[in-house]
Amino acid sequence: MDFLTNPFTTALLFLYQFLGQNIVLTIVVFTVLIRLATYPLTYQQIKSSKAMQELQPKLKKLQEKHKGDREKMAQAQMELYREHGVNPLAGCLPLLIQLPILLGLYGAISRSLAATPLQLLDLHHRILIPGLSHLVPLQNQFLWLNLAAPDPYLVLPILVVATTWLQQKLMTPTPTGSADPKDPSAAMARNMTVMMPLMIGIFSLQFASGLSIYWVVSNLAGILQYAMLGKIDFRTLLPGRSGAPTLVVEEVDDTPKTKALPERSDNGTQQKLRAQQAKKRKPGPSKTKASKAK
Amino acid sequence: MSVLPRPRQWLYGAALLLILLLTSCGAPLPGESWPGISTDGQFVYVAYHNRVMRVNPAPPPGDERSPVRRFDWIGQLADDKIHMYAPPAVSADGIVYVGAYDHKVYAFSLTNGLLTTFNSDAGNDKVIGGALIAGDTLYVGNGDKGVRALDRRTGARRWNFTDTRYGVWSTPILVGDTLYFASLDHFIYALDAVNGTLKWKVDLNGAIAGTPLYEKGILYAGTFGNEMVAVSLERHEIVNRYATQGWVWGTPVMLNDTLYFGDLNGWVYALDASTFKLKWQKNDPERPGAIRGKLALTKLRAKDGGSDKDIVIAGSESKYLHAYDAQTGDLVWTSAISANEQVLSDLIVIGDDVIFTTLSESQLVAAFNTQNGQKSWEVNYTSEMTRVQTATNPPVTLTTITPAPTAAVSTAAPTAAVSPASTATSQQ
Repeated sequence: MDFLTNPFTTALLFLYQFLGQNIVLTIVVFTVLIRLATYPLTYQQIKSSKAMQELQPKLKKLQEKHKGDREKMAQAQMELYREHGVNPLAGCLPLLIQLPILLGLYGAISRSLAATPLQLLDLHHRILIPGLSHLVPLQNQFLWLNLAAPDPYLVLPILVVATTWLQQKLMTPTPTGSADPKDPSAAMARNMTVMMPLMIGIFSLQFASGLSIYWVVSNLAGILQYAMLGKIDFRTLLPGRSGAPTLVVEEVDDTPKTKALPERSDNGTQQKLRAQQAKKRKPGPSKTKASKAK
Repeated sequence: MSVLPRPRQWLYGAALLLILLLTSCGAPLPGESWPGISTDGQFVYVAYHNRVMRVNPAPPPGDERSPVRRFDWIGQLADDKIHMYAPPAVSADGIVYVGAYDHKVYAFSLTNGLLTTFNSDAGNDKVIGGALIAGDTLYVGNGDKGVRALDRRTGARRWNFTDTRYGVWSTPILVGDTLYFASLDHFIYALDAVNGTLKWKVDLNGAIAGTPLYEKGILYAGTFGNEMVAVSLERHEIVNRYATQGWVWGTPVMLNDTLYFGDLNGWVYALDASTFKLKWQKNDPERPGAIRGKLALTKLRAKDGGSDKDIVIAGSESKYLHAYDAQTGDLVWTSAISANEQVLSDLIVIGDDVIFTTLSESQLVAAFNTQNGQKSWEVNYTSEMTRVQTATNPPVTLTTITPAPTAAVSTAAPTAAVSPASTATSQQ
């Protein structure tokens, strides 16, 4: 990772000099700049995620149709993706490209906060512009924090957990078409929403405080980017609400309305579909139909 | 079958991989420091992890060519999470003082085997530099800021100067009644040694991690601003500067009014100490590596009836030693590869051996012959610890300290009077 860490370290030092040798401000600005630079990838990821989300009901139908036949399912899936111009990998590739960038940034921050002789020796090898050497060592004290050591009062690890959970909750859509708490996919999504922040929080207990600041700022910047795309719904934070996009129940009249199905030769398909839809309808005085909220 | 699409599963997988990578690949450097090394002229003292050890460099009786040396004394802390890398300071009455990464200074008794429970609190951060022994006072720099003066027998704090911006990784120097030290905050400070008040300070424009050299009223200090700087103690100002290729960390050495030192870009320099004119500079482009530590000066014995030659030896991150003619800079020898590890510590010369520490426990201390660059002996830390801990009659004196509240050092009669200055050459 030196091909990224070294230029990032140098850039960090340059910013540090430019921002009045304030290391916290430097970390914040640097993180925001990197997030801005990777915004096109983030946008691509969100767009792809939304497209996948919209295909969920159709995917579910296909699974039910081709239950037990993996090959036909796979073919049908690919056909569906082709019809709608969706690339299932499109959401992952941006993340995979961002990974080394994030690692480089992480490495640059941790190495710049050199606190031992070997770390300082290592830092010397990473500064590509000799004129920046006079900045070393970086001022690593901020309020109660030694930025090169973990936060002794756990304030930052708590912020890491909170902002990671917040980002997860606001930005990771859960599968639609099912608000059933027994749905395994929804359960998995819920578990990840809890487990991931906790795991990161546990790891952050050992991070240098400067790295925790980077993580918190990165999370907040991600949420802000998502909000600027108009994708955020803070109501999902309320108990009982799943991730965006939110499921909203609408009142409809008694007459069951189904989509006009194309005329087909009677192979019982229409009847099967109507029967399935009838099963899904909730009983009660007013019949309702679940729809997605934009 | 889960309707969670594979891409989302990949997303979670990628996120988990990121966490794993960040905490493993992105973690700070492994290791903290190279072992600290010092000498009292006869023995070599090494601080490493929770132990400080003494090595007798003389070969065992009857085995002059033995390639192995052993520890003949070990002081250790019961808590193996407390690490010590500062060069040990040894007093004439047999007390070894070492600063630790838990910001305390520990004192171990060499002579009477007493468990010495002195561990004066020396600040809020690691103690990285060596301590200076001056009479009954111990001066030690703190990793976060400043210098403290302690009663070296009781650990009581005499005074505490904290008006530096960053830590002090160097060993203080006492000249008369003035204490000088260099800080990472770019300044050299002069304090009243008795009460710790600031007399003056001067900005060298670059962090100073190493201990300056004092010679004839001048302090010579290398900086991370790629310079060697001379400061006049009389005029309280910089009188000379020389721009180097890289950071200068190690303490310079002087011989016949010539200053010798290395930089982290791998260059060895010889400057006229008065004019700072360059006499020569050398590097090894085939084996590039930082020269971190203090160089060693010694004599190369003449062959065929000629006259002895002064040589200067430099240890490198490249794992090699290089010996240069002190006068001309001509390469005299390049060692066999030292080994397994980079040579980052200061170099010490005892007899015909140049001795240093490495980052490898299989060769924690190594010695090479100053006459030909061949390996003389080594100390295998791992096997030595096994030997010491499993022997029924421990072959060494093992003194273990369990950190406790400050207590008095034993006042058993010292075997020799304590000299005003440090009796051990403390080096980092």
